[in-house]
Amino acid sequence: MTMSYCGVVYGNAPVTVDLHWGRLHQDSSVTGVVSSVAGQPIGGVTISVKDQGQTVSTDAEGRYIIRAKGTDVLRFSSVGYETLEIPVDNRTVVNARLEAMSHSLEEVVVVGYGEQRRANLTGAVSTVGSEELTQSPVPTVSQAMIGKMPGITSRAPDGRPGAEARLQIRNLGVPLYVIDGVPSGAQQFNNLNPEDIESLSILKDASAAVYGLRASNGVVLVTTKKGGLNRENRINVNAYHGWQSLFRFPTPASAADYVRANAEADMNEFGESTWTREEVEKWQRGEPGYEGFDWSTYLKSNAPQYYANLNTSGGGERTSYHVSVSRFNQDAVFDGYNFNRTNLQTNVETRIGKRLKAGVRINGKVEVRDLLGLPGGDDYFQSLLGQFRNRPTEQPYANGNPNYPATNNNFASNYATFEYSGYTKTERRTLQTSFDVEYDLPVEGLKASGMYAFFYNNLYENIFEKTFDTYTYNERTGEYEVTGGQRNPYRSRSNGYITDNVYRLQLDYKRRFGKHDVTALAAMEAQERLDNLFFVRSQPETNYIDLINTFAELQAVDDRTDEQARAGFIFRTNYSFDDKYLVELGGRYDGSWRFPKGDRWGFFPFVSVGWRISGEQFMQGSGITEVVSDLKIRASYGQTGSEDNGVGPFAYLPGYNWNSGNAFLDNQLITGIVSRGLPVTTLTWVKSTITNIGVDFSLWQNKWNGSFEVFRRDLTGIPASRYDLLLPTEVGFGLPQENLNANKMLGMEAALSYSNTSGRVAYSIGANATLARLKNWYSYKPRFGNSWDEYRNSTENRWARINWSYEYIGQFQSEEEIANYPVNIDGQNNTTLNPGDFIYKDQNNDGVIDGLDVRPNAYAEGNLPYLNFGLNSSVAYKGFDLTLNFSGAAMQSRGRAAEIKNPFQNDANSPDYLFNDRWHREDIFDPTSPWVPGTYPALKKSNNESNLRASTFWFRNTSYLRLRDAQLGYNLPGTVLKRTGISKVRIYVNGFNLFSIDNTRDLGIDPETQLNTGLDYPSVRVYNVGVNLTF
Amino acid sequence: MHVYKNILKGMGAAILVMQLLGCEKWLDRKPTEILLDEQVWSDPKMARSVLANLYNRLQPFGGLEGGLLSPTDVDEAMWSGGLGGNNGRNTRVNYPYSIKQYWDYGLIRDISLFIENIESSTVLDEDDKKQLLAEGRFIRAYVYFLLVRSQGGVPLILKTYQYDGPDGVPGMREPRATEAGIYDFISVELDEIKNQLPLTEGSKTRANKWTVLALKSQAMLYAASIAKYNSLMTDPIQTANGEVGIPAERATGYYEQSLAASQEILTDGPFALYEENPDRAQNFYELFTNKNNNREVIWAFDYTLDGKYHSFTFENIPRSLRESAGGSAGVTPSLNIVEAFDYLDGRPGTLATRTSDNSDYIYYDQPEAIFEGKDARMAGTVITPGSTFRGQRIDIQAGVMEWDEVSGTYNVHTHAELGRKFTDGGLMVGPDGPLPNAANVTNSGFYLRKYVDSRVGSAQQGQGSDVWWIRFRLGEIYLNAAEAAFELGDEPQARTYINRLRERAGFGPNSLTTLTMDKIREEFRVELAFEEHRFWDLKRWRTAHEVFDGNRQSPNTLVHALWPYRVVRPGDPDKHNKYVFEKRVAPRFTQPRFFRLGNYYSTIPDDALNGNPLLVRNPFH
Repeated sequence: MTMSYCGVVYGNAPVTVDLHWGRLHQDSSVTGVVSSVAGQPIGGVTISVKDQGQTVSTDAEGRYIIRAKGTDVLRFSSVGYETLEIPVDNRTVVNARLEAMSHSLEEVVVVGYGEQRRANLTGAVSTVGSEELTQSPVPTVSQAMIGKMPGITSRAPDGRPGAEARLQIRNLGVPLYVIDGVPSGAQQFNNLNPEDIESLSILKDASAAVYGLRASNGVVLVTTKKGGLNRENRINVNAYHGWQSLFRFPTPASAADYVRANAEADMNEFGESTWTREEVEKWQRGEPGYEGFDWSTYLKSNAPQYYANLNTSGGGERTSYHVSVSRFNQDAVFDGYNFNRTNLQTNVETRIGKRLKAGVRINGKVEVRDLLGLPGGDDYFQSLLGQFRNRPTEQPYANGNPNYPATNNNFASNYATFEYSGYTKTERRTLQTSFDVEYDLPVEGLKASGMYAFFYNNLYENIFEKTFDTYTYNERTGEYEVTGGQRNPYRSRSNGYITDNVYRLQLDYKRRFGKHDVTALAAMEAQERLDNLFFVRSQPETNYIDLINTFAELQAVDDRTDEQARAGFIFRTNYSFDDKYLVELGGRYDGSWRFPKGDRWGFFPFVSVGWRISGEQFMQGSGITEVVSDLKIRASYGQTGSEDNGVGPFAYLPGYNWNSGNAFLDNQLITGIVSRGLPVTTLTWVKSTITNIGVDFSLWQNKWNGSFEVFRRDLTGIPASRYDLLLPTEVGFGLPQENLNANKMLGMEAALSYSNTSGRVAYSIGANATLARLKNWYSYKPRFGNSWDEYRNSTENRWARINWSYEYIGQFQSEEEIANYPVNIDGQNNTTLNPGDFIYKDQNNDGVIDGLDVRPNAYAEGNLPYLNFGLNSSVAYKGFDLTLNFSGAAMQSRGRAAEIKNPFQNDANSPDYLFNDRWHREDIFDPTSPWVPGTYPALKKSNNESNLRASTFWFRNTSYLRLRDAQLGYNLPGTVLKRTGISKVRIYVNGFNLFSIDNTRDLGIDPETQLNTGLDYPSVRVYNVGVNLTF
Repeated sequence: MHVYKNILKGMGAAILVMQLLGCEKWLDRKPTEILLDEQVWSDPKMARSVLANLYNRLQPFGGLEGGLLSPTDVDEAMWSGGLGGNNGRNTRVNYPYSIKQYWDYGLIRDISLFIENIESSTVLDEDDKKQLLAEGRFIRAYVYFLLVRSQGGVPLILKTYQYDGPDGVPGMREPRATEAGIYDFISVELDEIKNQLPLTEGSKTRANKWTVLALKSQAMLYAASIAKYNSLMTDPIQTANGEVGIPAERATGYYEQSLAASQEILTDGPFALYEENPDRAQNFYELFTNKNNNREVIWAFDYTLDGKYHSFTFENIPRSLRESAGGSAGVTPSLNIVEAFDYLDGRPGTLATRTSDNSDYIYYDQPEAIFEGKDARMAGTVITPGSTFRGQRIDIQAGVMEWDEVSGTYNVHTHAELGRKFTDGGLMVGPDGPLPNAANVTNSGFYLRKYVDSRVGSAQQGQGSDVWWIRFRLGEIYLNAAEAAFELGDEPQARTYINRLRERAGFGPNSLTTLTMDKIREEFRVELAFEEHRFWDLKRWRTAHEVFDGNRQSPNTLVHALWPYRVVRPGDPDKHNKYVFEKRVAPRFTQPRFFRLGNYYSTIPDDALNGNPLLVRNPFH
């Protein structure tokens, strides 16, 4: 029988206490081994004698030794495990088996400017630990968070090396990231080494408000690992190697299909074709010279990636440390692309004297992105575009000779030219350093602390797009003639740096008076940031000089600098009575440089309350406690201002903008300047109000844990103009924006988990889901010309980001059906239509399909999905462990464009389904032969407007459930390791993105990608093998 | 306790210091790309920077940027570039009422701000002030010309407004001026500033006396022809208060003003028709691309490779000469414009492709032979099959016609691959097309030459061309003078002007012995092709709705193509390896041009109508 009080487990149920050694003398050594339920030794467990000061910790093999009396009680505690108390009971050996923590109430949760026991939390805060984050072998932290906790909405639209996922808290917008107390950006967050993270806290409601003007979209708090006092030194190694392939990508049509489709399109449009029947047939048979080329062979299925981390942590009497170095390296699925990152984390903390503690954290990293130097913008996009842009009738090399890349439809996407293209190399070096002091004041429970942190980020980007030739083989002369190539060299360098300083002073008070628990906080904080970028571009004369140092070659110079400053005063107080009645109250007085003098400061309060019902007398009956281990309801309400009000800093200034619209006057290039228009002086921050109601519960001895919350975020004062003033456009300026409009984000989230052990099997399963959808609320005095205008264009109290389109109701089956069809589909009395063309519903029954027939029938495109969910499970048995993490989403829409919609996009190839699954004549060259149906309309290169209109055929409401991570590990048994000096060896295999259940498979598209052309670099599927070692 | 007190004191002091001194200052950060008004208006250099921005914005419909699409609005050209987007210009059922809409009062405000600040400046010296002020007023007059050309009469706003709250708003509402009123404003302004621009006398890029006269020549001609021809319509396009439509009796006065301005340029100006190259076709081409001592150019929008260039050549270069992976063959000339150029012996420009009894093709030794003897301006404007550009022969050939002895007919052989050889080893499809259904290959059988840069490298994406865009040139002034003189009854004078222009094009002296208005209009069409004139000219002559009547059978509603073929007929040496031509409607061009009466004036933008109840709509909208 277990009794539980405040999460401390007494007694013996999950514990085995070995009794067979001799009796204990007064105050002598007790030894033992601490292990997990699955039998693995646990290092770093803190063991203390209850009600006395001394503590020790276990070594890597779980062994400890401590001085104790036979009547003492030993307390075993470790992060991630339930704390256990065992009476020594006069033994000399006390072994303990710790149960993995499942949501312990005693667990300490990191919140804004402090920590709280989970039991006392009144805000909506989710946490995720190091172990869950490191289950995903991904380049960036945001990718590792998907599906792991409630309240996070996400989309991983991109899988290129070093890619980040889009992450929001409850779809509120881009959150604020705070890393070890320092407000930072997503870039800094994403490139942390996941192994260095101790925990993440997601502040989702009023609990975020303590961060002020930037916190209206929620806050992600990161705490990095520290050592511990009197903890034995440990060295950990984690390394894996993996092989990646694109999860999914549309298959380009074959040469035979491509040629046939071209002939077919010509016939459908003009009744004649430049392709003859004989020639098309030769391609179908693939005769010599008519085989074509399969460009998809340039996509590798085993692009490598690897990761290695070495860390050590521990501590002595006064000083503790965590030092870690790691390296991540990832290639792309085509040659010439690489991402790698080296992270260094050093956290040291030391006690100076009795009351003073000082610490330093250093986070350094080097990120390197190596790309090709392809002409034009995004090199990854160009490479993927090549799958279609290169016609399958063309060859990469002239006459098959690999020394001579061929001149084809688009040399920039001919993979054979890539090795000559040059490079794009981006290096980012970052140093984040912070210095903390903490002083225990002589007043009991009062503590003062201060922090100074600086950040330095250097960006160094070099681009060199080189010139090269492409060739055509002349069969008559046997020569390779230069017939094209890149003639437009480009060389640029960006050199930028960011510095960021944060200062903070803080007072904390924490004390318990009987049943009254009081904590309070007062702090002030200031931050400044300077962002500089210098850019030069040249047109080099030669491919071989890597410098930009002649005026003759110089093309452009740009110099930019951006400065920001913020400051804030923070207070918060928490009160709890008997751990049952909880109140939190606080506020922040916050200022931002964005606003004009006099309007810079705002006060934003928050309040939250909680009631632990399970602590009440009426819940103590044995029938009830057996079922309900814990039950709490809580509510919060908080306000913040959002400084991001859409007009940018300095909108309040009149004057002229520098460098706008240059003119070449009298042979002199003159820099233009342009009037800034009316200064915006009537606008301030947008007000964000978050209301949250939640319930937390643990059932059946904490085996079931869960929470449920409903929330609402009101944004009021969204900028708009008072258009009803009828300001004539002829005055040449618009009315300055004011804080007028409003919207609200509505949603709910739930999480439920179950964990248990049965014999030597420990298992857990958890599920979470988040629904968050934006609703436009009211706008300034909406006006509508007529009822249609109101129906179509009103945003009043309606879901935001709705897509409108025609309703597709089928395809014409025959010429007769077109001729007799009563509705004018194409606006030209159906004269442009063929069988197979789309029929749209005439919603207003006026006999013609026009703008009045569109209806709201799709969700947002390219946004984060409204509904996100995750499913996480793990099983451990003896030395084996298996984890499976699923994530999914629904309530999002995908439109289609370009390559995945229009056949012959760029007058080149298309996905095979567009060319094959289409309406066509049985004999494509015979305009009298019968039509054969297909999913897509008959092929045409242009004049296809009716079919291409936005309709429910092209919009698709997508959803998916994918297995993001699967990991199988095996821990070598201790008996094997005994003589090696290694305390832990775990080997594992890991699969990422193994499968997905979704509705975009037929398009060849990863459901999370975002471009409506389908040409994102999709998520990768990865297989890894790895090893964890502890010395 | 001692330490505790000290720390507490320290923190208290810190808070106090931060609050009282630090915080407001802490948040005071300086922007780096903003100049305050006093920093601008105390420095003539900064005033010039404001001007630079204004000059740069006088380009509402493309010029050489954005691919110069205007010719694809009329019968000069079609779009042969990408199959999406701009292809809509080949397939539109009619011109939308909003076509060429222009309502840039933001620009008007910035010009007024400039004028007001120069006027009130106490630091600029008087000469600078006079010059800058006149320059600002010229730019304003030019913008009002662009506005009236698109919209008819517009509100005449000559000052800047300030917003001081809702009460002041009704006072800001101005009704539309009459169409004549705007032209009169332009006329008066130009007269006033004509002699106040001595500092830029010789400039070809900034306002000066000659740009003032050129604008007057053009604007007054527009006003005059609208006054005359609108009234001659069965149902004149007008509004009750004259926002649209100019009374007929004003015509003569405007013609006189235009003629006077033109004549002042012709007699007093430092200009001469460009005649530097004895090869007349090349000469006409160089008129647009040679920027050195070009005495014909009056006002141009100039570019430089050092930081301001355009991609016009990238967009429109012949396919085989492309220098980047994309682009080429965007705007391709029509057979219509090619045939509009007469033969130098006086024959009309129609190309002979069939025998007079229409029983057979006419066989030419070379594709270029069919163009022999044409107005030299044709070859200076259009790249025709077999002509040369950048020293390279441009082979435009659609296929091979192989004689079938048995049936006595030709079999046509074509292929989708450019430069494809036929079984006899000779060329089947030209490296420059045409292809019926492909992007970035000519669809019409021609490529554009005018304004396409012959400098190697200028067709590269991201580097581009520095050829300038000519806004006014002497050739146009000759035409304006001819039209005005003719309308005023002085046919001999008009004929002198026209014949002078035709002489440069290779015609003999006094090639025309009689002159009609139609002939003058044809000269406008060929001399100024691809210079963004035709749409506006057809509008002011009130013939646009007749030329583009939406009827497939009308001569210029469809873009026609000329497709050359090589004949393979070994049995007949007179015809074997000769060239024949097919005239056809360009395959990618599907809908006849349809200009409705409501297109004579563009719609006033909705937000303008909503914002000012005093604005009346244009007819038919």
